[in-house]
Formats: sequence, C-alpha cells, structure tokens
Amino acid sequence: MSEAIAAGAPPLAVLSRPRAPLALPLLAGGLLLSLLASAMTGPVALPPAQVAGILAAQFGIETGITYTPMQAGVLMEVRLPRLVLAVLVGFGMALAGAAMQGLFRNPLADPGIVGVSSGAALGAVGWIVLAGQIPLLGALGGWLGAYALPAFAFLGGLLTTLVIYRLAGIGRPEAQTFMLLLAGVAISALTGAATGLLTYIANDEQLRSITFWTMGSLGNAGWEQIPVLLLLMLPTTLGLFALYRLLDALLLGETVAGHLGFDMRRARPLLVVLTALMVGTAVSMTGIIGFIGLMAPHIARLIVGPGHRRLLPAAALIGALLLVVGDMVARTLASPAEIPIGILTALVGGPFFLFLLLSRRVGP
Amino acid sequence: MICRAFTPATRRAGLGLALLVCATPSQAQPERVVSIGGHVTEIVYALGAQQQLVGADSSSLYPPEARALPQVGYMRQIAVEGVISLAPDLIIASPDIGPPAAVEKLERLGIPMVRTRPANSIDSAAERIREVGRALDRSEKAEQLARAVSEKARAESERLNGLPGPRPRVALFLGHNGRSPMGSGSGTSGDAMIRLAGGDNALSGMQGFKTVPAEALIQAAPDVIVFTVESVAAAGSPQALLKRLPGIEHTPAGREGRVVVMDLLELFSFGPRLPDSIAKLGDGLRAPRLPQADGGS
Repeated sequence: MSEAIAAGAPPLAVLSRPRAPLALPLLAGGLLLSLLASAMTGPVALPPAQVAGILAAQFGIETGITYTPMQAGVLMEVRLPRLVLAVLVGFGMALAGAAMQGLFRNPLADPGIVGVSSGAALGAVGWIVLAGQIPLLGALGGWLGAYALPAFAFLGGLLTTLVIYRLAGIGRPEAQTFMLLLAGVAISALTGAATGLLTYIANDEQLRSITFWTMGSLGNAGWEQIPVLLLLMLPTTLGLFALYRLLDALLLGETVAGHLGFDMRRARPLLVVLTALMVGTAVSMTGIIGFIGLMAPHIARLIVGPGHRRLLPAAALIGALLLVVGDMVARTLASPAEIPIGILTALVGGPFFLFLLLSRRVGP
Repeated sequence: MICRAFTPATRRAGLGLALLVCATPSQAQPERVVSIGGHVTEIVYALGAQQQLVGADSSSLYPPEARALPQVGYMRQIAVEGVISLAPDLIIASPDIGPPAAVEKLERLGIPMVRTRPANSIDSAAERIREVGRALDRSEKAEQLARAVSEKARAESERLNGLPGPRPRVALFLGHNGRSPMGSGSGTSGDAMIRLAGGDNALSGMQGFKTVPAEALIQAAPDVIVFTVESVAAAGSPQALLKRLPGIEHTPAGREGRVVVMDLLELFSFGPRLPDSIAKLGDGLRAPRLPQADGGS
C-alpha cells in the first residue's frame, strides 16, 4: 500500500497500513442492497417479483411476471431516476466534503465552505423572485424552461466561489488557505444577506418555493437530468480521486506538502474548482441537502482511516448510501406526502455530529 | 386497471349518487379523485361528490372534513408517487399545481388531470364550478350551483356597492411568520374582493402583493384594514399586527382601529362560498368599528 504516497516521499506509515481491507467492497454491496430495498419501497406497492419482472422486461427478457403498466411507470419514471439522482448527489457531496476537510485540515469543513451552497442559494432565490419581474430574465427562462432554476443555482455557486478564491489570492501565499476560509465566511454572509433581501421582497408563493428549495428534494428527478449530471460529475470525480496523494500530504500541513513536492499555488485552485463544480452540480439539481458532505467523510474515516486513497471512495459510497436510505425514509414516512430530504438529513446529521463530538473521535 | 379492483365500496357509493344526482350515463364518472387546491376541494364538496375523493393537498382546509383525507403535500410540491399510490383515475388541480416536473410525470404516467383556471371575478368563479362539475360528470348540478353562486354573489355585490355614504378605502394585508405584512395591490384577488364588497382598494397604486412603506401607507389613507385569520393568529392579535404596519397610526383606519379579519380561503378561494365571503367582507367594511378577533374559526 506504500504506493499511496507520492513517489520519493517519506512513507507515511500510518496511512499505508490497511484498515478494514474489505470496507470498500462491503460498502459497495451495502449501497447495492439499499438501492434494491429503495426500489421496492414507497407509497405504491411494488413487490420484489414485480420489480424484477419490470426490470427484466426492459432488457427484453420475458419472465411471465404480471404487473400493471402503472407499476412499471412508477418504477421506471419515478423511482429509478430518483435513485440514480440520490446516488450521484450523495456520492458527489461526500467526495467534495472529504476533499474540503482535507484541504482545510478541519473536520468542520463541509463542501459549502468555499461558498458554493450559499452562492447557489442566491442564484436560485434570485431566479425565483426576479424571473417574473425582469423581462430579460423572463425571456431567458422561457428559453431554458425547467433548466432555468438549476442553471442559475449552478452559476451562482460557481461565481461566488470564484469571488472568494480571488479574494483569498490577495493574501500572503502561505496564508491563502486560511484566507480562503475567512473570505468564504465573509462572502457567505454577504450572499446570505442578498438572499435575505430577496426573500424579504418575495411574495407568498415565491416564499414557498424558496423554502422548499432550501430544504432540498429529490422529487424532481427525471432521466433527462442524469446525462447532464454525469457529464459534469465524471471529470470532477476522477480529478478529486487523482488528487489523493496531495490530500494525504496535506494531513501533515501545507508546508510539509510543499516539501513533499506539491505546488500549493496550483493544487489549491484545482481542489477548490473541482469541489465547486461538484457541489454546484449537485445542489442545482436538488436544492440544499445538508450534512451528507459533512457526515459521510467522518464515517468513512472511522472505518478506513485517514488515507485518502481509500477514504475518498469510502466517503463517496457512504454519501450515496446515506442519501438513498434517507430518501427512502422521506418518501415513506409521511406517505402519501413527502418530507423534504434536507430536513431528514439535518435531523439525523445533527445528533450524529454531536455524538461524534462527544465521543471525541472527530479529527482528520 | 388496478384502481377498479381497489375500491368496490367507493365505486358503488359513487354510482348510487350519480344516479340520484344526474341523469347522464355514469360510466365516465371518475371514482377516485385527488383534489389539489382549496377551491377545488370546496367545489367537490359543494357538488356532493366527496365520496369520490381519495386524497387532497394541504391547502384543502374547507370544509373541515376535507382535512381527514389522505394528504399529498402542498400543491406546489406534489409528491408524484404519493398521488399515484392513491390510484386516482382523475386529478382535479388548481392552476398552481407544481413542481412542473411532477405534473409532467403524472401526465406521462397517464393519469388524467383537469386544471381549473385562475379566478378573481364572479364569472370566473362560476366557470370554475362548471369546470370541476364537467370533470366529475356532474355538469347539471354544477350548472345549478354556478348559477346560484353567481346570482347570489352578484346580488350581494350590488347591494354592498349600492350602500349610501362614501365607499370605504380598504387596504388588505397578508403576512406570516412575523414578516412585515404584504399589501394587496391592483391585479390581485384581494383587489377584486375589495371591489366586489363595495370598497375601493387604497393600495391600487401598486401591482401585486408587496410590503407597503410608511409614507405610501399614509398616502393611501385606508379607512379599513383587512387581515387574514392566519396572520392575526401568528401575530397574537389584530392590534399587534397593526403595529407591524409602519405609518398606520397616521391613517384613518389606524386612528379608529378599524380592522376586518377574514379567513384566507374565504377571501381568496373564489369558490362556492363567494357570496358569503363578499357579504362578510362588505358588511365588515361598513361596520363602524368591528369587535376584534372576528371569525377565529
């Protein structure tokens, strides 16, 4: 496992010792199981046999299992796209969270720390409130259709990150990560104020939309989103995985990472941009789903230890697993109505985080 | 399809009623209806078709029995699978149903959906009753109801608009969660209700629902303020809510403490209760000084 460290670097023994060697296959298996369970669970009754029959029929296999067209429709048009969305978003948020906790060497860092979430919220709320009032925006919305809100959220997230990054660049080179953190706090406060102002002038109907957006939902999932999501997430995922050596080195601090041969002036923006892209994509599709990006890396660290070669995929798998299970609960608990998923993740995430703090097992 | 096998009891009840109520052949009559929107549910009940209802949204608060129906969530945030799990053969929805992705999915899954049109006049309210009646295959009953509602509403409106004395200048405010109340400008259903009830909208200078700055409110000089029961409940009392309106103490309404409190659905649903709502609002506007906390129900 010593290839986990950059070639020529002193071996970081603690990172190369494999812990829970079967963790990744087990997590992948768990995710698969949760997907199966989730596909069969929901307000509409869909027994395993029917699920199997419908899926087989998609591949042209005749099983002789009878199901109604409505059951097939629910599985193919409602549940499956939703499951795929949950997997991708959970995966991405957790991966980005692990990367940010690594960069900031801070277990409290969540993927929103570089301003993506607050910027995306500003973009989304701006769109909800102003689209009807500014003719140009209205015309643009007509052209973008259902993509208008995600597009604005995505742009808002990226632009905010860019501003924060530019501000951080003004600081001394060795203090730039620290500056990034502080600029993130300041700009998040500013975008929060702007969002607040927009919320203030919003009418009741818009307020409802804003509230639901900030609570997050996977309910809008459709197959047409999946290619877009994959297209944006695939390169960012590969990019973040490729940076695991850098993240390992950062465990020892930026100075040491520099000595190990990592150029932080190039590595830092790469990490920030990849994270912003990842989170911006996820948030724009679902609204704000908190805590996954914070929780999943912690759980992963408890299982596989701090080495990022295994921490990153483990965190991503756990994130996907958490969101799939969370969404299953959200769909069934108040059936036939749905609980916004963001409420559930916070409801579970808050106590979980406290538990971690109290048992003093938090730490990168 | 599955829905038939599900509900022999409802089906029988629906058929029985159909034979009683209308002479038209009843095979087209939907048996499992999900109602999305307060006004839709009110109309369904007014048409006596509540046995056909299998679910409603969270804004379906009237009549109170409707609250016992399975809830599919808020009308702008419909849960697709939740709706489907009720095995509806018809969805009757407010034009505000959403999100668009959910509506599109329901349509693609082949669940018939009828959407009512927005209404803020007596005629459009009557038309909505006819729309829902057609969807439920109760056109005749709906026609009677629509006519009765529009006749009564018109009569009430004419009576109130013909009252002697100056027309009261009215400012209608919505507001929840401790935010500053939002005034109902021109083009809103609040504006329409005020005029139907024989008043003038003091806030007609602005469009839509907006917060009203102190100077604008003083300039508007309303004689009466209208609040919703919901916002008064959130604020504690009409007086407490009045204090949230900057400049109110310099208006006739503020000096005399003239406040009318109306239920949100009563004011805005433009459904079968329209004549009563017009009468209640109009009489409230003309009352010299209303006893506080009217209509707490």
